[in-house]
Amino acid sequence: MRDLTIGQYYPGQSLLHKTDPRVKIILTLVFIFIIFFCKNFFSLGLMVAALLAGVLLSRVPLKMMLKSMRAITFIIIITALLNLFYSTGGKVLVSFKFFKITDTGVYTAIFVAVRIMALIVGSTLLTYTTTPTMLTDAIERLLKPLKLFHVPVHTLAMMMTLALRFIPTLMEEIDKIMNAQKARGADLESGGLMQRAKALVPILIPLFVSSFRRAYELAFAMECRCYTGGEGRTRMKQMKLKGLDSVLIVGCAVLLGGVIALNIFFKAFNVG
Amino acid sequence: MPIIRLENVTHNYGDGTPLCVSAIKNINIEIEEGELVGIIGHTGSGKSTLIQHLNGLLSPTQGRVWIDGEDIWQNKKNIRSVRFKVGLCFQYPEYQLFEETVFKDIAFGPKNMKLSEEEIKQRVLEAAEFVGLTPELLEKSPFDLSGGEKRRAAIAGVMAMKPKILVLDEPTAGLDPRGKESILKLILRYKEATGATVLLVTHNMEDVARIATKILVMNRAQVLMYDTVKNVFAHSEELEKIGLTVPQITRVCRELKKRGLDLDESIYTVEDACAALLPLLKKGVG
Amino acid sequence: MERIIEYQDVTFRYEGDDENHVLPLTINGITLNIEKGSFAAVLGRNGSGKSTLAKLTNAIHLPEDGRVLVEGLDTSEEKNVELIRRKVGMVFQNPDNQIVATIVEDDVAFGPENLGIEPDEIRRRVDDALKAVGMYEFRLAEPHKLSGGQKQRVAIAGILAMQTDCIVLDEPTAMLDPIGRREVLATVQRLNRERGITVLMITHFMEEAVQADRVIVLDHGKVFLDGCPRDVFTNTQAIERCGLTVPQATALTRALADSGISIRTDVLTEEECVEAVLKACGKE
Repeated sequence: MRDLTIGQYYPGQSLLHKTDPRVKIILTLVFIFIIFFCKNFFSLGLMVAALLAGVLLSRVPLKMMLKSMRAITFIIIITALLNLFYSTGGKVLVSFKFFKITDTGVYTAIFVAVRIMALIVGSTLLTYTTTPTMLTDAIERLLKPLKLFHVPVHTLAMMMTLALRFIPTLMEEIDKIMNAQKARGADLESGGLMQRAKALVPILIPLFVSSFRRAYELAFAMECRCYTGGEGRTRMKQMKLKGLDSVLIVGCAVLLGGVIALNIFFKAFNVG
Repeated sequence: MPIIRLENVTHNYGDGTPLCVSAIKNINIEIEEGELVGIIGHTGSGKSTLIQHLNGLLSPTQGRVWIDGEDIWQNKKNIRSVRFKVGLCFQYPEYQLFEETVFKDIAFGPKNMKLSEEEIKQRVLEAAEFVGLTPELLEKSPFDLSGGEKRRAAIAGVMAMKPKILVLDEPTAGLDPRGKESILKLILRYKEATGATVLLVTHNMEDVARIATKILVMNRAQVLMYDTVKNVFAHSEELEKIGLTVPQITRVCRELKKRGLDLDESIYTVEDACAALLPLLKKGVG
Repeated sequence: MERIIEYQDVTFRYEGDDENHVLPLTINGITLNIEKGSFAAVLGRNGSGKSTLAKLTNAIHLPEDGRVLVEGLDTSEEKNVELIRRKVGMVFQNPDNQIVATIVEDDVAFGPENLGIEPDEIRRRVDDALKAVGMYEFRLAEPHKLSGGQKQRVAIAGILAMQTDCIVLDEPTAMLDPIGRREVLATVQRLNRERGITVLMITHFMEEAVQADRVIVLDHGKVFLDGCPRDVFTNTQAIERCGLTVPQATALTRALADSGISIRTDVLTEEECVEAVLKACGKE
């Protein structure tokens, strides 16, 4: 369990690592939007090409990228199959009993699969090149305007940071408690659903007790370090937009234009 | 026949990956019944990996573990029964308490052993007596006990399984001298009453020196020494070289010997040092 | 000498579960001054009130009676609390429960950020603090991958970066292994000597208290012994009466003296003990 990493980060010094995390978050959102905007293989192809360029730029090995895909292979396959069987229209390629596979179905299936993969790679690129701390910081700064509507932006960001900080600690703790109870003969592996749920009690109670104790001590420690909430705080790490960031923003705008153009130009080839 | 026998035991973490490390490597050791073995070594030397092999919480990557003449991994399904034979009490065991009452918590182990109600009750009362918890305390919530009482309740939870081998990881961590003393005493009491073999993992050399019959020194995933307390402390300089602290009194006697006093080099208690020095000093004065 | 912390006839008790159940006093009338630049160790059994004494210094606890003053500021006045916490930093027992950020340097920056310091200045302070505790090369590490001793040093750096005058450590080594204990003690000693930071360290390790300038022994919420380590630890009887132990070197010379040997009994360290025994032998 200890190997579990949340928001996997791939340490590096590439241009994408150095990009302002706020820009990265916005561009990722824009990227997702544009992907959904693609209507045919030409515009989607442009996006995939842009994505590959991004991956190369990040210097994260392609293997790592594929790894992120493994967890959702199942979802991709299911979605593709659904599209394959449920699309109507076009030439029938194969048919037996209720099932009909048409050429439109094949195109749509491939199109959807590529689209999902592009989405995953795009967002993984963000988490691979940005540390969790940078991400929470950036989110806090981006959401700042919401303060006007009394949304506790700073508190939410602080909660996220603390969660990220304590996940590994709690994982370790679960390991320890499990071992301690197993040493007293606790059976965690056999029995029906109810029995297994019951077997979790000796693990969950100590875990809750210790989490509360930790939270209590942590609150004291934070108060002792003069923490009084977001008001009047400064940050050591500043975020400033640099030339690099503007280049990326312009690049993204060009992509959007390209996709629109291709969508119109190859209208005849639109999928779905 | 030794009660614990490890034959060529190796345990690797992250086996098959480039990050593979051996937490213990080629461990061969035989521990006789009735010993009180102090296990020492600094953090990361493999101590905790070693003890988790004794009750089957970890299985060896290579080699075999024999407890009471049986290869514990012979029948994988039976591994849980090994845990009743080898009681393992982890560091800060009070954090594993969870039941409504101290009684029920101590009864958790015996219950898992599927003993009769009658037998469970008897076991709990007996274990509570070993650790010096009064019957009134047994009806309290474990979370209402004091720190020292919690620790003792948790140890009782392991003792209630009446293990033939009792393994404790740093049972005195975080306690003051008197608290330490009382924990060590109750461990001795259990050992005397049941004839169990006891393994005590600790950083505190002075505790080990006082109560152990033998010492096992771990260093870099391997057993560096396994010998009587006297023989191990005779190598005090070697122990210091691998970053372990020996009792202050051992260092004092070592220095005195270097400076020309005729002293045994393996003194490890103040009483022994005093007894050894008295004749020398009386002679010196006379 | 200038005082940094003053306890004036302080009492304190914890709240019971209900009104009918009043707990006994944990701190039972303590009057004590801690001098600026000193290194004082507070020793005592579990439950002697030593941790509570630490928590009274920066208004985590407020006295029931009496006053606690930090550089003249009363801790029970609300408006003083933040000022006091800028002067007295606190390091706790459990290293895991005081580190806030997922990266070492961000954690050290946490205090100064709360104080509203300029970013460049924070960066300077963080680097300086990490160097002072010998953790600079770990500045980008994740805290949960550090050893206990390293985590405690990061916690100390977090206080240093706030530029407090005084560090109060509440059993900082209780959960560490011997190597971690040595690291933390050496760090604290160095900061006291080189930077003149006042140190108030709560501990139950007699070996650590021996290294201080002054040892205060608490028993049942009262000051039981107070003096330089030599005076305190050679008072073998008193130390043992309150459930503590003396260094083995001290115990040895005391035992020899009790057996009728004429030997110096005020030894504290190994070297002194060796010299004393040799002298008693007539070898010197």
